[in-house]
Formats: sequence, structure tokens, C-alpha cells
Amino acid sequence: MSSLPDFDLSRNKSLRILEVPASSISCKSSDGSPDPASRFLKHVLSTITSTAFFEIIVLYWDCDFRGVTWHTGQPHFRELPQAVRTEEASRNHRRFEVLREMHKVRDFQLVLSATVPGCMGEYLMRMLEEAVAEEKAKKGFDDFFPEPLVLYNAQRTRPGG
Amino acid sequence: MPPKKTPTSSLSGAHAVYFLSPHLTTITATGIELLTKRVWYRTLARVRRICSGGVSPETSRTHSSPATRLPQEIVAIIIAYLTFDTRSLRACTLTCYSWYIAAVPHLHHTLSISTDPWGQGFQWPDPIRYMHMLGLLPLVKKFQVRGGSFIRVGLSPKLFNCRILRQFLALSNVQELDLEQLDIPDFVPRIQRYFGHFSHTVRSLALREPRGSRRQIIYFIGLFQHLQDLKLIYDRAELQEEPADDLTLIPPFSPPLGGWLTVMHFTRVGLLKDMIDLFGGIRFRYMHLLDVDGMPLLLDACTKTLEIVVLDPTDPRGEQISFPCKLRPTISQLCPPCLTLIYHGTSRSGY
Repeated sequence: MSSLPDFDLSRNKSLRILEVPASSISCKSSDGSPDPASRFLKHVLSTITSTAFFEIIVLYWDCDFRGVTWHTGQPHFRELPQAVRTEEASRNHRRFEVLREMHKVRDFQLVLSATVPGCMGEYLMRMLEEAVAEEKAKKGFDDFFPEPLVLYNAQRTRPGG
Repeated sequence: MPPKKTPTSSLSGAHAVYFLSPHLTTITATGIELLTKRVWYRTLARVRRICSGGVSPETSRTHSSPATRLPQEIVAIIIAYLTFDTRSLRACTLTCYSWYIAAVPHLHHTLSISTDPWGQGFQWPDPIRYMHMLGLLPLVKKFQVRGGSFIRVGLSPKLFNCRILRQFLALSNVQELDLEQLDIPDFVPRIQRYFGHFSHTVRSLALREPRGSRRQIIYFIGLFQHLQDLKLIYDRAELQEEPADDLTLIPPFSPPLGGWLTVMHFTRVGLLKDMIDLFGGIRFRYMHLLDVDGMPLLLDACTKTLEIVVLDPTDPRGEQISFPCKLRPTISQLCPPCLTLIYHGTSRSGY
């Protein structure tokens, strides 16, 4: 087995935050073996020695949300069929599972950050909060893996941009 | 024999009336009437003011709006709330001169030009010409040049003539420079002539698909002596071997490079190592790395300064450093997130 020798954050003594795109933590091995993303992130976490480290931010972009399409520069939200919603819920649950596993390696504050254009922020924030609420209903959070913070980081374009 | 034309002022009243045509007489009469009315209404207003207790004309109903008398600092705070709202900013510029002064830098903060003749948006060099004519170029803080998607029409000296260059040099306060398909080899002999005026002001540089050898790219980065943030996005790496004469290219400055580093799909071997060597180290505090040659090198170079790192477990080059063979993600698992991330990044998210 590879020992992942090259990726080592042990020398970075001022590291505070690790940010990970949400899309990258939901991939699943086709052969049913442990998730490679989970293995990678757990390895990275285990190499961190910085005392300032306290936060992992999972970055959500608009492309991470099903049911959002762009037409002539404007977002359109469509109601998802039940099957797709179930699939989404399952994907979210898998993400939380990966993060829970990571939490066992090292303690951190989990933050879910929706980094999306301002016009769709409210809708996507609600979707994220619903995902957290669903996980909470499944008793996915406890004292060892507390409920994450949900943030909305509006992307706005200046005039002329 | 027609009467000789003489200045009216030198004539007596009788002579003046004699020489004036009926048309001029009408105009004079109208003028006198208007003057009389003006004197009458002013006198009436003065009488009313005296009768109402002597209120000054500044506070009477003919005064300007209180909005125009706000301190400039307060106006600036109000306008700052509208930074991203073009329509409101435009409305503010019509309020009065002080509001115009506060709003106009936000309106012209970003100038984005396309060099692709079939591309969308403003075409090179029209916006530069128009903004120069109106004296607005010094207000531009962020300057973006977009190249062609299908036909590669990057920024090169061919796009400049004497007049355009003179107008381009009026971009004197640019802090963020974002250049796509920059043709560095074509610029190199006289690159300072084109980009030297950005040297003191630019703090953030983004190079997308830059053309040139790695030494030329580093030389270009070294033009900006106060550069903090650097983005290197998508490298085609056309050169198989580095030209030998490139070694004579010594960057004029060693920028501090202490802000954000974003490197995506930039796989040119040795570029980052050379950059660290030539600049005597880097001190980035934030790193977003995806598909980069020399990722461990970058992390090691910023051991004392790095605070935030963005990692992508589906990094195509991650297989070299992270995944045992049997656990490698398949191509279908790798590509969609990466491609969508970059696609949305270049179009909207500011990467």
C-alpha cells in the first residue's frame, strides 16, 4: 500500500484552515472499497501538526446542487423528482460519513460554505440547511461530531466585470 | 447707398432705433420684459421673506436637497453599500457632483476586454479608446483581457499601435491584472514599455494559458515589484525545450508574493521551482492547488506562512502522490467535478 509520502503538511506550522470542494468528497469506489477521497483526506489530516489548525471548510459551488440550471445568465430552479432527491440525500449522507471519519483522526470545526452568486444564495443555503437537518434527524451528529456551521459566501460581480 | 454699419454703442438712442430692424426691436422688447419680470418676482420674494420673519434664501423652498450637503465621507459609506449594484450606482451619479465623485470609481473599477473578434463583451481596443477620451482610465483598478476560445487571439504587441499604447499607458492605477493567452515572447524585447507602468501598482496577477518559456513567464511575474497574489491557470506548455538564451532573463524585481496562490492545471515542469529560486522564496498564506507540478515543493516553500490550503482529493495528479493503484478513482469520477469547477470558475466565480 502507498504510504502517501509526498503529501505532508507537518512542516506547515501556521496552517489554520483546510478547504475541500464538496464534489471531491462524494466520489465512491466502484468496487466497494473504502473511498479514496476519504483515505486521502484522512492522510492529510494526520500529517497536520499546526497548533493553529481548527477548521475544515467544505466548499459548495452552484454546480454541486442538482436542480439549478443557467439560462441566459440567470439561474433557474426546478423541482427535483423524488428519485433524484433520494439520490441527493444519499450523497449528502455519504459526505457526512467521510467527514465523520475524518473527525476521528483529528478534531476540527466543520463549516459548509455555499460560494454561489448572490441571486441563488438564499435557495442554496436552504438546501444545505435541509441536508444538515436530514442528517441530524438520522442522528448523524453527536458530541464527537457536532453539527456543522452553514455559511453563505456571496459571489458578486463588480460593474464592468 | 446703404447706411454704413456702425457699432450701436457709439450711436445715440434715436440713431439706434433708426438702424434696428423690426426683428431686433422685438427681441429687445422681449428682453426688457423678462428683465422687468425678474426684478418684480425677486422683489416679491424679498417682501414675502421679510413678512414671514426673515428666513434666509438657503433654507427656503428653493434650496438644494439635503443629500447634496452630506459630508463626503458619509456619501462614500452610502455608496460603498451599492458597490455591486450597477443600476443604483448609475442613479447615484445623477444625484449631484459629490455623489458622482463617490460613485464613479466603483462604476469603472473593472475593465474587461476581449481580444477575440467573435467573442462576447467589449472588443479590443474600443473600451480603452472611449474611456481614455472621457479620462476614466485612471479609475480602473482591475483590468481583464480575455482571449479567444476557439481561435487563440491572445494579447500581443500586434494589437497595439502608437495611439493605443499611449491610451493603454493611462491605466495608471491598476491593482489586479488578469491576462488570458498573453504572448510573452512577442513582448519580451520591450516588455517594460508595455507593462512597466503597472509595476508599482499591481498587487494581483492572473495568467491564463500564458505563452512563453518558463523563464519568460517568471520574468513577466518579476515585473511587478509589489505583487502579492498570483494565479496560474491552464498551461498548454507548447515548448518542449527551454530556449538557451532565456537564462539571460533576470526578473527586475523579487515580488513579495505573500497573499493568495492559485495554480490549476499548470503542469509545466520546473516553473515553480525556478520561480522560488529566482525570487529567493515565496511566502503565500493561501494556496489553491489543482493538477500542479511540484505541489510538495510549494507546500515546503511556505512552511512558515501558509494558513489556508484548498485540496482536491480528485486531483488528476493526486494519483502520483496519494492513491494506491487499486483505489484510483476512475476517469468518470475524476473529470466531472474538476471540469465543472474550472468551467464555473472561469465564467463566474473569479478564478
